[in-house]
Amino acid sequence: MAAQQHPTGKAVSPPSLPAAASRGVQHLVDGPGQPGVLLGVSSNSAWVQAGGHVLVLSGRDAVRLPNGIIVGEPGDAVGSHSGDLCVVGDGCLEIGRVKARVVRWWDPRPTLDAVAPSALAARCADARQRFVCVDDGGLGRSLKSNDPAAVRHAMCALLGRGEGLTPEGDDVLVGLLAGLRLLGPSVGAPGAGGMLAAVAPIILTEAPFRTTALSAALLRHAVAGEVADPVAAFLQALTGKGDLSAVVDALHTMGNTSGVATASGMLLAADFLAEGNTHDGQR
Amino acid sequence: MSELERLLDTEPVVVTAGIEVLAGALEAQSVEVHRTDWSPPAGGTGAALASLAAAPAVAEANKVAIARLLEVRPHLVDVAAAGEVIPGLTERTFLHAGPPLAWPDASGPMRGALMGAMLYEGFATTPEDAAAKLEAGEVEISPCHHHQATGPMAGVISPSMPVLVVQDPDTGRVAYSTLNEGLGKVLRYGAFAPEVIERLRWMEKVLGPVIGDALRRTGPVDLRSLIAQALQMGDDGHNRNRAGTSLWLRTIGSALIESDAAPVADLSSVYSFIDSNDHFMLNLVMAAGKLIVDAASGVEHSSLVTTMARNGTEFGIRLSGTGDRWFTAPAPIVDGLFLGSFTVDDANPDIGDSAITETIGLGGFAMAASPAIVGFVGGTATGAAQRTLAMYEITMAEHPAFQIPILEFRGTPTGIDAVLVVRTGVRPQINTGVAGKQPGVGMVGAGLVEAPMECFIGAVNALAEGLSEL
Amino acid sequence: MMDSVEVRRGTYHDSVRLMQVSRALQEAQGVKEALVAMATDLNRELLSGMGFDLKAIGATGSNDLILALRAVDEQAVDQARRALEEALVTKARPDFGMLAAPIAHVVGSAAAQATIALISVPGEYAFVEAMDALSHGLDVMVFSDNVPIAKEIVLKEIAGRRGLLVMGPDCGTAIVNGVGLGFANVVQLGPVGIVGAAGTGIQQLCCLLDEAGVGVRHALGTGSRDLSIEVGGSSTLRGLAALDRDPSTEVLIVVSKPPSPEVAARVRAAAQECTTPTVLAYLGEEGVTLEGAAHQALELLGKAPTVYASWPAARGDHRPGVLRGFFSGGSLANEAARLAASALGEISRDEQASGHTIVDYGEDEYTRGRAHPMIDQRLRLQRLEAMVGDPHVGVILLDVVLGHGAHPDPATELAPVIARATAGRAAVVVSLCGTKGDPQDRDRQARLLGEAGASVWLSNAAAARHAISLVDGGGR
Repeated sequence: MAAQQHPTGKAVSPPSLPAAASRGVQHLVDGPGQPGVLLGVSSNSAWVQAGGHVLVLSGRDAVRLPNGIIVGEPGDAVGSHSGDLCVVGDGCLEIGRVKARVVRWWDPRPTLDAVAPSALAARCADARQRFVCVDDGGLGRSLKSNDPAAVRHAMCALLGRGEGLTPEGDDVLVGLLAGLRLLGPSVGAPGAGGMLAAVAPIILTEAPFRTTALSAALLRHAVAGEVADPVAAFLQALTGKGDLSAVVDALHTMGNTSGVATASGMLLAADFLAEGNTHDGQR
Repeated sequence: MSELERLLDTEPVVVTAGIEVLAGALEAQSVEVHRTDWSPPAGGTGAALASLAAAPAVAEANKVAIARLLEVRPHLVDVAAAGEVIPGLTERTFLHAGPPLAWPDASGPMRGALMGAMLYEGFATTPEDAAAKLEAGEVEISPCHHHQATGPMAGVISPSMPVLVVQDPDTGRVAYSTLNEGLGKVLRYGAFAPEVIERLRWMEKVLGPVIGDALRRTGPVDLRSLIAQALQMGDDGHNRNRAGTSLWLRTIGSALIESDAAPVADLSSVYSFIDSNDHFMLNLVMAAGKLIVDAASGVEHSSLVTTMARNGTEFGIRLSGTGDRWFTAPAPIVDGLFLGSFTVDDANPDIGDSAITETIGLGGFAMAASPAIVGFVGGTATGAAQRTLAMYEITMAEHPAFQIPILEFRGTPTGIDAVLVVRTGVRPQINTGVAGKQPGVGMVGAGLVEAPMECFIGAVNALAEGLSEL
Repeated sequence: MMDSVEVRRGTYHDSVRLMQVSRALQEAQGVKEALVAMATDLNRELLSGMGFDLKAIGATGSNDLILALRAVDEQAVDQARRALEEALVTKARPDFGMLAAPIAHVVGSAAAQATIALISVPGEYAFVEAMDALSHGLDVMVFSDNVPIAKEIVLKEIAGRRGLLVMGPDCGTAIVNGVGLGFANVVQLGPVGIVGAAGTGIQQLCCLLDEAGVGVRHALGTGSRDLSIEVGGSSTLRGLAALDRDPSTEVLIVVSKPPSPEVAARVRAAAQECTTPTVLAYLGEEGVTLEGAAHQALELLGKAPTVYASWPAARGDHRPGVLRGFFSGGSLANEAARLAASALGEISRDEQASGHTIVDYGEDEYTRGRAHPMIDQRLRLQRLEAMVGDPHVGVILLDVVLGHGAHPDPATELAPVIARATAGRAAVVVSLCGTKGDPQDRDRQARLLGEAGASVWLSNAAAARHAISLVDGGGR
């Protein structure tokens, strides 16, 4: 909706649009108002950096992200200019002439059913038949070695590798981190927590310097187990809930290759867990 | 997917019907809402609609009926004398457009056409004589639709008239229609002057035989293909048939040239006749339409509309699932674009079997393919397209062959569901010519008319009878 | 004073909208009476009863709109007519480039992009729309009541075969994935799942849990007759099984009035099969309250029970007299009535009775020709007004239900009459069913009601108990 013009020519406060938002950004949205900077816009989204976090405002046809705020008509927000000032807080996100007021939250952290390692391994094999995994730069091998240092090394090599808003390497890392975080308890694998604790910190520290702000934010969310909808659906499918082929189709709606790259990372995590790896590299 | 997984795992997208408060409450929660503009179904049909909704037989019957409607491939194979091919057409029985009609109830153009046919056949010497004989019942009248035939406007068919023979190669079934006389003073608008009779005789002696001969040379002409092409050239198949007429003339062109069935002068006059009559294709479309709807008739419990036709006094419909029963209402008067100094006061109530085009997904249901039609029926080009879009709500299918370029080649809305008409309140839209109410005046204008809701109410109630009470 | 009665043929507007419009017209200058309504037999009777002469408009059908005005003069009538036109104008549809998307008139036409159908058309037509929804693969919530039970059975049978759920008929409240359908409070997402045949019962549970810091992700309404012997608990059993499977649901609550014994046995057996701990709350059974059910759920989650907030009344004293309850929520009324009956003896549900009464103004007899009392408070306000001067009435108990779909500011409308009542020394107790997140600003509603002299309670059972204690000789 466009801002209304008062007869004196001054712009009046824009009417607010009801929005649904991810609980992953609730602390920011419900907190006190603070300024933010518009980092970029696409055909149906706009993303904002505020308080060290990144939020994405988009319309309903966009993929729901763990740092997403969804309105019916993003409209004028996508006509804003990179660098424009924004405001986040007190329940709202304001970008130029668009003010989104959050009225409903969704949970970006899926609750997964328990799954036996053998069943998980079988579903991974099935999934691998349905798309071509991306080159993981040796990450898979390092996971098999169960050596945290090697894993860290391989992960750092992937960080920021590739082009675009969320480089392919980052997508693989998102998949791996979220997979370890969320599938770990499902499988009951004692090794998951340990590996995650060993490799996550360096990635989170390095990310802001090595990749885009948005991609760094998604990595942070992944470590917390907060993911985009198609990613959650894929993890659910690996535990036996839902239809794997439909879920793989949905992955292709995520950007050009994002979905497939993220799935590749999730499968690496799933394979690692299915092999019953234990804490600190001991089998 | 296990029990109710979709419900519990998906972000709700809600369609609402009823009080606005609830739709507003959803929007206030940033939920995607699709509202319906719901209102109670027409004319006390609530109970009938509930019975029909509860009966799985209806949906199953409709699947069968619409499939039959869509798979027919009519081919034009011949021209023959009506009396020799149309069952039940004799010297004692003439055919007419629309639902059953009694002479005393007939409107001006219908009377004029019947009288003209009497004169043409030599059963009467003067118009008064003809009228008297028709009054006395010396010749009876019966709907074309009861005899595998259709006719535009008055649609009168008598034994000596040449008729198009259209056949379904898969089943061998046939259907018929007259040849289009052109515009102006013609029989189908109720004119019976000597020139009208002259022309009819010429059509009998020259036009019919020449075309018949040409068809025997070319072999069966695929009408479905011609119509589909014409639609993409801006025809609508009812009131705008210029492209179809042109395509058809191309189809038989060589055969005409090579013909030795008649002197060159006759062949030339046949060519000129068709060339000067942009509506020639209409009768071919109508005959094809009759073949198509007859194939879909008689499927018990189906709510598919297989007939929409008017006789100048009443508008009648039939459903596939209610056999031969007609459901009628007074024929509406069309208020559209009038020619010259004619006004709506000169208009006859709606008349003709040509609404068969709307019954098979053409005419008013294909206007989005024919923006130029507005020059004929009035309105705006966008308005015409908008009205086609509205018809998707009351039809069962999108035609696989008849496509509309501007709608990304979406198939035309085809197969009117009487239940949906009554539930939505959206009436089938027909674009039509308007006859002068004085016999012989001819066409006074053209416009858009909606089929009367009363017909559909009657049909739906009848369909529900005979279903078990819940 | 002059009367004007007109008909607009072939136009339809939903009943709630028309009531809002009628109300607005009545406030217009110079207008004494105004009624804009669809020409049903009921409304025609209503108009004749108001003294309007319907002979002039002749025969009418359910798709005709009657506009009846009684105003001081011609000018006032004209003004009112113009105001009506404006109020009824429908907004233009959005443009899609050259062509606007066509309007959908039935559920099936808009089903392609949807997952749930919410149907609130008059009951006699709801079955057809619900079947349309099911045949297009949508889950359905039937808000409408007065749907024949035979039709309900057919709907639920078909839904069962297609793996879909029918919530209703007569289902006023549901929550699916945190989205409120019908009348619903703004509740945080959380581990509780509810299956309920009682609309305000579900609402109260959600409010109490939310207040205790525990959220609800799904509250599946089943319709008021689901647990009858005829329907057999179809939606309840399927909803229970599905929520049991849902990994994010950790505790289940089933809330309804007591079912028939056979169905109760089936539900008990199903609850025992569940791996998720299940609370069965049959309101009407001895000792069962919504507050109690919420406590059980909290306990199962390892949370301490909460004492729900209340705002005491400013004035302590009140005149002696009977208890009069004016409720908009059926379950809330039933709970209060049961508690009152145990303590005070006979409680009548009929507003004409002379002793203690607790009336549910959401019942059919009070909603003919009126919107539900949760949307339109006029009837309750009238009744309360009558109580103000009635010396026999000592304690007035009423519920105020907040949330989406309900009145935007009930406290402001109620405050004046409550103030008059308390000034006249009647005690007023309000059961406030709402959450901090509700659009009406719950705490502000509580403050306004309190300032008018009422004591306000978030727990309906607590409100009822308090009201009972205030009645002379109250509590045995």
